[in-house]
Amino acid sequence: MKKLPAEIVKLIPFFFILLAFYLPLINLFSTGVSIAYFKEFLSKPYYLRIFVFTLKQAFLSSFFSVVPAIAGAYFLSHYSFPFKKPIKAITAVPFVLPPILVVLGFVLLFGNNGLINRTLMSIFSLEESPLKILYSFRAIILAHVFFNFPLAVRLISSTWEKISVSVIEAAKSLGAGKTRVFTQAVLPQLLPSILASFALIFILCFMSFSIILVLGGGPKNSTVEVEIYRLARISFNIPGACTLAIVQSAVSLIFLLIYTYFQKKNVSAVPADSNETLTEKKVSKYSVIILLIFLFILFVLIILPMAVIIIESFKYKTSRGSEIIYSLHWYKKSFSEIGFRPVRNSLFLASVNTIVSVFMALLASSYSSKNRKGVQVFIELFFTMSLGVSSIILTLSYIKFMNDFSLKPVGWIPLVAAHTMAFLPFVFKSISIFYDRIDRSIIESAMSLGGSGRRIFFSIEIPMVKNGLFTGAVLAFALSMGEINATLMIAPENFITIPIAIYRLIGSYNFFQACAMGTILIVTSAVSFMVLDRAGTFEL
Amino acid sequence: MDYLEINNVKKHYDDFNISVDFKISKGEFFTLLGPSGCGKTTLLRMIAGFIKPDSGNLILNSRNITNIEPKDRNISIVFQNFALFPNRNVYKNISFGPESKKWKSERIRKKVENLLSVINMNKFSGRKTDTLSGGEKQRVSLARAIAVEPDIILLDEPLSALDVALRNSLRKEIRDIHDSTGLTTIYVTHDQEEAMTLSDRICIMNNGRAEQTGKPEDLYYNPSSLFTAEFLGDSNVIRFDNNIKYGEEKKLANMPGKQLFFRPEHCQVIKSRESTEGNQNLFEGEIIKRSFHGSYYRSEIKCGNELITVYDYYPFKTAGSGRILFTVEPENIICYS
Repeated sequence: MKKLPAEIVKLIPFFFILLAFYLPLINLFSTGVSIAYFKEFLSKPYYLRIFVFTLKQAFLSSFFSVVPAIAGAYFLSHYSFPFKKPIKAITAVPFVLPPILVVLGFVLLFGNNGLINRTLMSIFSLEESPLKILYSFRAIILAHVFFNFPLAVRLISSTWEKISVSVIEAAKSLGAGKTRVFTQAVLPQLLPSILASFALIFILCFMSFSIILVLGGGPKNSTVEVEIYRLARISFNIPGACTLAIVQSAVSLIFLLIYTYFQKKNVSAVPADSNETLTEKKVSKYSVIILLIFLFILFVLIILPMAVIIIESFKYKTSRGSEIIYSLHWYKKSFSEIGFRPVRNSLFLASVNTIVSVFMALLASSYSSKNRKGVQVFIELFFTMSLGVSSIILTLSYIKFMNDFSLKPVGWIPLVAAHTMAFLPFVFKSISIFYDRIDRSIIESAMSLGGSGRRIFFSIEIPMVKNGLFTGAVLAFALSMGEINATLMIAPENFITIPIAIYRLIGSYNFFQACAMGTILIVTSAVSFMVLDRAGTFEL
Repeated sequence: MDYLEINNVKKHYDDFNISVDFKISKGEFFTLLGPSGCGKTTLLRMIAGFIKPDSGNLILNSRNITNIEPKDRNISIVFQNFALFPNRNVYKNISFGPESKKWKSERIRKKVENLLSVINMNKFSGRKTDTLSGGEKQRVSLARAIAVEPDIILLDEPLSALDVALRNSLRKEIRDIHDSTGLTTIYVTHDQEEAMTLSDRICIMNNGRAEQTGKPEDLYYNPSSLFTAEFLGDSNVIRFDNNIKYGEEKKLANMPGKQLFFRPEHCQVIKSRESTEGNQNLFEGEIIKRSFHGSYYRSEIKCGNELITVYDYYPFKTAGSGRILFTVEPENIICYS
């Protein structure tokens, strides 16, 4: 067989993204919108209320995630305490944790019949559950904070660790007091990372889907994203969905630009590989209290909901009123009723997605690395633009594209494309970070020694970026395993994945069985997370 | 015979232009010397093939290589930062080129082993490159570049990242390797001492142009421009004065704004006024600053409005301060317009 010319191979990722992202979206935005629908959108207070609500919940979620995270980041970067390393590692857990698990954990923990209410009822001998958190605005904020507080702690503390100590010492030696040192020497270095975290979390909450869908409790707490889903899948009102999609994409793109701006500032504000490191303080008596509170929050938010899911999955009562026994009952029941299909489908989808994303991201970052800085920025933007478009909108554009051009969906192919587009930015970044570190002179040396493009790619580039490939692959796999948004939108009929199974089981109040499926997902997420943590190459 | 011809090569950038034309003979050790930003590295990268010139051509051994890919030029390069392949050990770094050229494995093995002994690193064959010191890394990088038996080897400030002692010993090794292999070598540096001690010929570059090309001695004693004169070594440049006699009549152009140039070591300090008879170009001035450099004192002398640097060799004739007399022979003074 004749080998494909290298020039064509290099362009495959660009063709793929054009086809799987830009083309359907351009079609959506250019033909899916009519002035009439915009007028309708503006005239209906219902949609306006949803829009305002979406902004409000995103703002509050970001605020309550970022502000306490500043204190958490201070502790993590300034103090040494027992178990600091695993605690730091845990802050990355929510990133690979499927939202549907958070939803499930929250129902079990904060629900009317949840662990917290049951405990309070038995302690104070109450008749009714005292805390009414679920299916409300509070539940949404709480779940979003669960996801994003650890993320903010991680992002801000990683900057705080690296800020230039000599600037602080110089300020002190020039007679600056504590406040002045903070406002003049620390804050200017730290602020870009705080604002970047805020913008990133805002985008994530603005496009949040399953948390709102399940925990929001119906139309009064609906967001633009959920409304797009309802219009497209339940009312089959595609033009209406398209109109909302435009509004949402405009807002999220603005915040994506804000995020990129502050992230660039963040990178330039802090020395990249400074040798100066903060000397870690030992925890004092007072700070130990704050530290314990911080650890308690992390525990309640991250560990407890997952632990409850696992424990519940083994609980079984043979009849009402009988003793609880621990067994594999729900697992057996799940597999006998729905079989291995969800597990098989999820594994299949995640594997295909991993292969496709890593292949595309590798080719793209290799190509990008050989271009001028300006071109590199453009390529990065080209490949990470999908961060600003929710997978609901992306899949909506697929549905519309297939409708418009009377294409028959080929099984799971659109679903794989949607998964790949959703996670490609992360995979691309994981790999391109390593490409950025390859000194140009290494590649040029190889060229001057007679190395062909193919040989340099396989025997120099790939070995040098292999950690990035590994990180990207694990990320793609873990994120794909837990994906529910795109899957709900365009999965072929009867294509049930683990998250979909959990979603349906929660919907039918079959929590124990949901927990059994959830535990399987926790295991894959935990393994992915541990592998990533062990490799030590995971950077956000 | 000319081995490498750089014929009217031009490259245009927004804020900078390169325009050069010179020739290098086979086996020559040729150095591009100039301040940072003068275009020497850009020129080197054009020779290597990483940058395409806008016009002009490069002829290597009668073959036009202007549009040939770097991998097919058979010109290897050594970088300042070593650029070793971190995923390959010392042996594998050196064998990369021969493998790319699909040599027989026996020939590769012999070549690598021979080079390892040339750079005195036989024991390091299986070592990872990140366990090597700076000097060892650069020796491996050098061996790697030689291994492919290139037509030309390019060295881009190869010693800049090393400390002084190491730089001196490696400098000698580089010249020894050149002499034993007879490889045509193009060396880029901003260090004039390095250039003068190593090179057969030097090309002084300034602002994208070749200012002067020649043997180190010629450039030092007969600089054709003020730039070369001032760039190489310590120098004195003073306002033209009718009372000063100078050596090179041919450079005479009787116009205002002329300048006179001479080296500090050409200033002969005179012990007393009585012994000045018959001396041309007698200067008198006040010592402002004086520093000890081992074999000589370097003094800055204020003569009227001019500040002149004078080297005073053993047996020393200058004291710590006060007025001194010195002369400069006319043949050691060059006049520039």
